[in-house]
Amino acid sequence: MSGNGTNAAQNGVKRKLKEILVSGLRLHDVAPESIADDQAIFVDGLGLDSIDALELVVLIEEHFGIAIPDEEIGRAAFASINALAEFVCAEQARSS
Amino acid sequence: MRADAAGRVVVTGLGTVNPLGTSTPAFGSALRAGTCAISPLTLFDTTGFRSVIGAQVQDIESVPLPAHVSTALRRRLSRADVFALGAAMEALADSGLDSTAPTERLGVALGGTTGGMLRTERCLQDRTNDGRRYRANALVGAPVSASADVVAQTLGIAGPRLTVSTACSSSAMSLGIALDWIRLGQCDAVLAGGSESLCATVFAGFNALHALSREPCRPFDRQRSGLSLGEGAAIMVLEDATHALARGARIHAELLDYGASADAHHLTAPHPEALGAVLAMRRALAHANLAPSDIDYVNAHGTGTPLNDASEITALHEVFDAAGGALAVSSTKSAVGHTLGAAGAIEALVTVLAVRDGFIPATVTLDEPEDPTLDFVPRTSRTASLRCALSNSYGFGGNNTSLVIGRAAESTH
Amino acid sequence: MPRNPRTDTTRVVVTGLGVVSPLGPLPDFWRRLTTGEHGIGPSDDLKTRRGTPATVARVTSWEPKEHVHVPALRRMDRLSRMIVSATRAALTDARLALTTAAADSAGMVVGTAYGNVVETDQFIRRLQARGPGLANALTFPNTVLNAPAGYAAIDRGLRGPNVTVAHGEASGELALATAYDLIRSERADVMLAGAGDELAPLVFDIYDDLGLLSPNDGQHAWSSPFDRYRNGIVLGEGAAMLVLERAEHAAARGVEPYAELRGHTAQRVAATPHDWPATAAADPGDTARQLEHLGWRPGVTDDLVISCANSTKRLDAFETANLTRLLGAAASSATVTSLRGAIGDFGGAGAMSAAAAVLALRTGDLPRLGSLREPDPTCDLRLATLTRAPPAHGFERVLVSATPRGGGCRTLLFQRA
Repeated sequence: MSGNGTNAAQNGVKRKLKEILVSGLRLHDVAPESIADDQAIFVDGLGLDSIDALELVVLIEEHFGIAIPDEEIGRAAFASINALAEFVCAEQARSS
Repeated sequence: MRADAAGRVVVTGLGTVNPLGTSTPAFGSALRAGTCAISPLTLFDTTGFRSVIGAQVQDIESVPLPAHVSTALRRRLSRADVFALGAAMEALADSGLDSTAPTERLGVALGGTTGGMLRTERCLQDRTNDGRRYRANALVGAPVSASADVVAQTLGIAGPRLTVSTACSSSAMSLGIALDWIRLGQCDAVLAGGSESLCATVFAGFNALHALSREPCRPFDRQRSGLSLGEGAAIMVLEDATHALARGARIHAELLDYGASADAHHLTAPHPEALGAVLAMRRALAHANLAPSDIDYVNAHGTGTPLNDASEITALHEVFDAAGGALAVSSTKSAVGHTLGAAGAIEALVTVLAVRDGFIPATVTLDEPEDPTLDFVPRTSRTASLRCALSNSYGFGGNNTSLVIGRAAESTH
Repeated sequence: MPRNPRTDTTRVVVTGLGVVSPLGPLPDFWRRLTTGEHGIGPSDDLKTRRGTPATVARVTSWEPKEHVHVPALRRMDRLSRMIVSATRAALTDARLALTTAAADSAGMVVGTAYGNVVETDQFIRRLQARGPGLANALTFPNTVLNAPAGYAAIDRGLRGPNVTVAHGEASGELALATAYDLIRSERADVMLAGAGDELAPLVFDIYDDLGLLSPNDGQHAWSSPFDRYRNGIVLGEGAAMLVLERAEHAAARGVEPYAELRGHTAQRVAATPHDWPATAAADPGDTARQLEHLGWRPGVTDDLVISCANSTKRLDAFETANLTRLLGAAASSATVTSLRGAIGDFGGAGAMSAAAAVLALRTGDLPRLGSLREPDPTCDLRLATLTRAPPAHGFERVLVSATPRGGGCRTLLFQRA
């Protein structure tokens, strides 16, 4: 599994993702820290829908420089904060 | 026309400026020929967009405007204003209404969404490019209500005026409200319809929603992948039937009634059971005192997005299955794209031509229907004698409107 | 077979009000109008071209979270929140808890001049600065003018006709007129009707560049319709929604209406599309004829006129001439007022005038011109000064008049139910 350095990097990414979700998707009443890492983001979790998903794709590109090429990959990555953080870190590792 | 013309509303004038023609006869020919006007856009820079196509009016300079409109005034008008004024002029001339006669009894009811946005976004580009002070007063003509003012003041129309802005159903709703005005005795006739101009802002919005198709849109096709935007205007003269008969006007068709509803579901996605669309059609039929079996043709909303077309198919089955008869359905958006605030009126005008001339325009880009149990008139238009037709428009925010258009009955004199 | 609306005797009444305004919500809105207070002050964020704080009338005493279901709130732009809040308040005030069946035939007409300018502006800024790939999917649906009406319909489950109309400074009056027509055309039993507009930097810049605003040189600008020293507009914002209802429908549920909306008029006055008419064009002949058809002749009853006078030289002069001619001999007995000194000027303000009209009919009091220093000597109208008393038995009728740029004039006639 990942070493400590990568864990720290992933935790940083998770924190940023939660902040992006709250500010970018207008979840003004949700404190970023209150979002659990394994919580489902879409449908039941935070009540987000397909337009939020589109917006999230743009936010990921803007903040991390990573493009999400198609819906299949997007759907898997958006399952939870954990999944999204893993995806982002993996993409960052690939491009560096 | 039956002897009792009381309360009936007929269409006595037609005018249009759209990507398939800058006059009604040109438009009608193009519809019969099955032409598609969707092609790469030149109105603004399409770099970086997922799609680069749309249906653009090619030759706006050639749109005839009233002689007293100076070059200077023409330059100040927005693109949408020019479309509206051109269409209004054609419709008024076609109707034979004497515009020198007192005109408090003639109103204007238009629909639109973006108004002068094309000019606005260019003006705001100054602000973006180098942050220099931009001239905000250039935006005074930007509101969507400007076109109704321009048409009324330029053509000297003194009756009530109105602009409806309900996204994609705007100019279907303006036609419906105009019908109500006439029935309530507020007007003898109304210049009713809508106008819309393409602009980068709206193109970018649909682009961000991943709603644009890379190829010309394919309504009701299994392979459909989104909509194509268009622009233009259509205006009809709606007139009280008694008034029209008294002056010997030529009657194109009858606007029998309309139905309107809201989904009350979601701002962009249609109701999963198409509740609003079904309500609008049923209300239209009930108000027109018709049964589903009286309808021979439906001019659909048919944008070509996966969600809309599926929802619309559900609605059509819900309303028409029990009727059992032969029903044709086609989408004009396959030919002129989605003209947003003008779509209701442009497509109602198509429906008037269909009913008047006895032809059904095709869904010109259709090869493989999503639902083979419905007749979507693929590729080729056909001759058909139509008694009554529906024209449907469904807007963002969930306003659904169905117009009932019927063949003008034989004159009794 | 639907009855012929032309011979129909359907009456339309007002049974509920909801207001989000620079004077606060009801009852503050009404109380402060009658005592001549205003909601004008320096802005926290808007600036004039010269960099000084703008003077505006901002909505006050309104916390969206108290009015709107919080999870639904997050997607709504600010104007939509105002309209949704006002809609909820109006339905509550009307004691109209709609069952699903009833909600099917309850609709909306919302008027607005500019719609959601703030988010449209943001969308364009970002698009132009960052390119199409980074444009906001979330913001775009809110840029349609009918987003507020859409959100309100979703919030309350209203499935009747849902219309948004735009007519500049007459947007509110047009919305009320359209809702009235829809009820009389048997398209709904209940229609929420009203209007709203939001203060936005872009709109402020337009008015500023056109030279329409009251100057702000080191002291606060002020708005005083019909004033001898008036010097321009103070922009405002807000939303007001009224519940219009078929009279029999209201009676059947035992609700006492505020007033009856007797009807409306429309008249074209000569004006260029982007300006108010000149005084010389004042000739309310058509309006007078249409009002007479609605059973109103000035001076026969105790009347109040709520004008759209907005503290500009041009419009107030036109209104003065137009109303003087319309009222004729009754110009010395009818009372004339305007809300624009209290709430500022904005497209949807006419809905607030309509709300004030029915409150005047119910309470017997009137909105007063609290900022009036000295009436314009050319104005012969009986103005609603701070000391003006209402008629002993209150008003019988209230006329709301709108003269928008472009000259498509509108009035609404309210009378005691």
